[in-house]
Amino acid sequence: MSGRTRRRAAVVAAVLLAALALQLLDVRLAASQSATLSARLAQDVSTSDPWDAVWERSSSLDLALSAQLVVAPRGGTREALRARALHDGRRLFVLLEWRDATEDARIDGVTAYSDAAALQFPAASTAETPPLCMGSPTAIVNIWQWKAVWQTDAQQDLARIVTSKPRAWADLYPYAGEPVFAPARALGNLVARPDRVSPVEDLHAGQYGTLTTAKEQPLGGVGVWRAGTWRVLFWRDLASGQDGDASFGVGGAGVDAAAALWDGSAAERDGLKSVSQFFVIRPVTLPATAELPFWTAALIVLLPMAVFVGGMTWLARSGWTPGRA
Amino acid sequence: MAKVRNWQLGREMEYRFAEAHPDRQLAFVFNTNRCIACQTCTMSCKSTWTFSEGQEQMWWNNVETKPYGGYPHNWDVRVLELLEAANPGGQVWDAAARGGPYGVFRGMTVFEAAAKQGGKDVALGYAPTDAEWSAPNIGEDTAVGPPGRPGAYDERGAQLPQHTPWFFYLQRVCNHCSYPACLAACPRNAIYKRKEDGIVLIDQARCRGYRKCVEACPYKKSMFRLTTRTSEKCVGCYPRVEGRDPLSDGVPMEARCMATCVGKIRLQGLVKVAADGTWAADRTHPLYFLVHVEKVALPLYPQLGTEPNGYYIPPRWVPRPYLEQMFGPGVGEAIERYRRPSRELLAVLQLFRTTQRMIFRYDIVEGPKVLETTVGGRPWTMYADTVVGFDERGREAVRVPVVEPFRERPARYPNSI
Ligand code: SF4
Ligand code: SF4
Ligand code: SF4
Repeated sequence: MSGRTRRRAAVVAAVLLAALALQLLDVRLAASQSATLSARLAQDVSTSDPWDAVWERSSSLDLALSAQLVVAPRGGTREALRARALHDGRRLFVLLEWRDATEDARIDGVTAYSDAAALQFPAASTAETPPLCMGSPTAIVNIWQWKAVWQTDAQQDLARIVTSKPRAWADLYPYAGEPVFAPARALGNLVARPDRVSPVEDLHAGQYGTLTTAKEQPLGGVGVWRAGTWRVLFWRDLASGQDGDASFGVGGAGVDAAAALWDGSAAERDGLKSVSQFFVIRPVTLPATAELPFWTAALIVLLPMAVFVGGMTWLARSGWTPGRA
Repeated sequence: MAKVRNWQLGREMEYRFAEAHPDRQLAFVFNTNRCIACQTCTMSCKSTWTFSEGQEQMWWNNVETKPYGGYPHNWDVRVLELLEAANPGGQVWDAAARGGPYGVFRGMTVFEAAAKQGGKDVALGYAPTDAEWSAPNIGEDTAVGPPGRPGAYDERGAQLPQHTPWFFYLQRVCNHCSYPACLAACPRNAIYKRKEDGIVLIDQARCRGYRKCVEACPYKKSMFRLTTRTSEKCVGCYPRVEGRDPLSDGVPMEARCMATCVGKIRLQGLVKVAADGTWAADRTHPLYFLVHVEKVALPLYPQLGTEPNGYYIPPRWVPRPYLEQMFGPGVGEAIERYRRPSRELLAVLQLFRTTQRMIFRYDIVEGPKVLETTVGGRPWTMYADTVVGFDERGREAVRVPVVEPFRERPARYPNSI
């Protein structure tokens, strides 16, 4: 064997070793991202604070977004999103994080729109993979949507003019208590609910224009905007009894997912949104232990590699070849 | 996008959905010459439908002073400007071409302009702001001065055929369009057009408040309600149109804003629609007669492409180029016919706002000649005919003489009631 072949063998061995080490440590480098997001096990996920330290122990996946261009209205300005996931054996938690300079959490004028985020999964009952956007009549999708304004609603009643327009004055609203004069509310339309307590909504769709609010609302959610970044947490029981909902099993192949974001200050709503490609959310049995700091992990990987490569080189220099004692 | 026939444009055009027409269509004629801008119509709609919290800025019916007024502010100028930018110099009619009653429109509709701009939206439009929806009667009674001399007094300014200082009142409600832009733009398919009467409604259970209809409706007659976060619009007073109002005796009744009009400028009805979307010939239906036989009433901004079902008898003192931009090339002829009305037209004009029941047929009982004169230098004769209107079931709903009875109070009862 020539010296060159030997060196090549050494490099290959080093790469394999490094890959093995990375796999064992579940360390991801930017260029080696896969489209699978593992949801590891954690028992202490906070349902009130998406900025909780538990998320430092989760795996994450960076997703590139693009404008929705399939049907009108077309558009979307957000470019990237980081997704994280955890589960506690009973519930799945998905955290979305993205940069947004403005917190658009009020609809207090006819041209005011809310920031929003959504996740989409195939319904558990669906055998085929649904089209990326909004599913198809034979492949129903389950959509989880969060809106910043719904979050504000839980704290103050923006559905009152006195709240959304503090300087407005009205002498009298005749028949104010009669539901028929707010027909959307009388019909039970969720967007018109004055008593909204949850910032998330569970929806089903079977192609564009068919988005419908699910009967049962098994979802939980919370979003917090901090210094130009939104973090929005969704959670739900891994299994759902509701027709049209997605279902998640621990240790399986995972479930296809796609994410979408809306920027209120860019008047984004409905089809005006930024969407990701499909990725997979896979709940695993591996516990979410403290992540090794990057440089520590790198050192663990690189140090044996350096020793190995250095040793091989020294041996080669000294005229040693394998097979000869 | 599908190809549909828009008879008002005299040609086919692009629309999101394939052609499908209602059996009957709610339509109306407004005689702008008679409106006194009392806003009774406006208030009757408000006190019927939009008096609740969140509807403060909503005026499903409004009357604005043209050219400066507009609700929302400058809505028509904004839409025309967008279209002009999309198709510079191309927004023209070929009045001589064969196609429809007004020739052929060679320019782009709001749908075609949106497609040209890459199809980001279904219809070209814009979203008016809170400020633009406020002050609904801005510009009221503000006249245009003599050309080049704004504010100057023109002694001969008020002489026909065209006044130099001028304004007029434009009455506006949703046009329950044949190709509604609001409906086409709704990504939720929450807007629908009813088969029985062509009324366009927003399903309040499905609307998610995306406001694409508000953006797309070129007439700006779809409005957002802050308290329900859904869009609402004129419902065409459908319970009355269905004949379910206790007063209607089971037959279609005119809408609130129509039935309360003090100036008697309004006539509303249901017209039969043919399979190809045109109005089925119905010679003695007052709306068919006004729109298709006499052609004295014209659609509002037909070039926008929604095939609106509101028709206007243009104000006869206003400069023609302005009116042609607003009502198309039929303006000159319509004003001529209105100034020197035929015997039949004069009779039909008396039917406006005389009964709450919709008139489906009229009949004229001829009377004696009462006047011979000249109008615009040409002879004109007037007869004391009587016009009779019949309701949906063919029952007499109203009987009106062309010449109003004139009674002189005897001198021995001065100032008595
Ligand atoms: S006028 Fe506007 S709101 Fe009314 S049907 Fe036409 S497009 Fe829709
Ligand atoms: S038709 Fe009825 S709902 Fe529509 S503007 Fe007139 S009064 Fe209002
Ligand atoms: S009620 Fe009649 S006259 Fe009065 S503003 Fe309305 S349309 Fe004009």
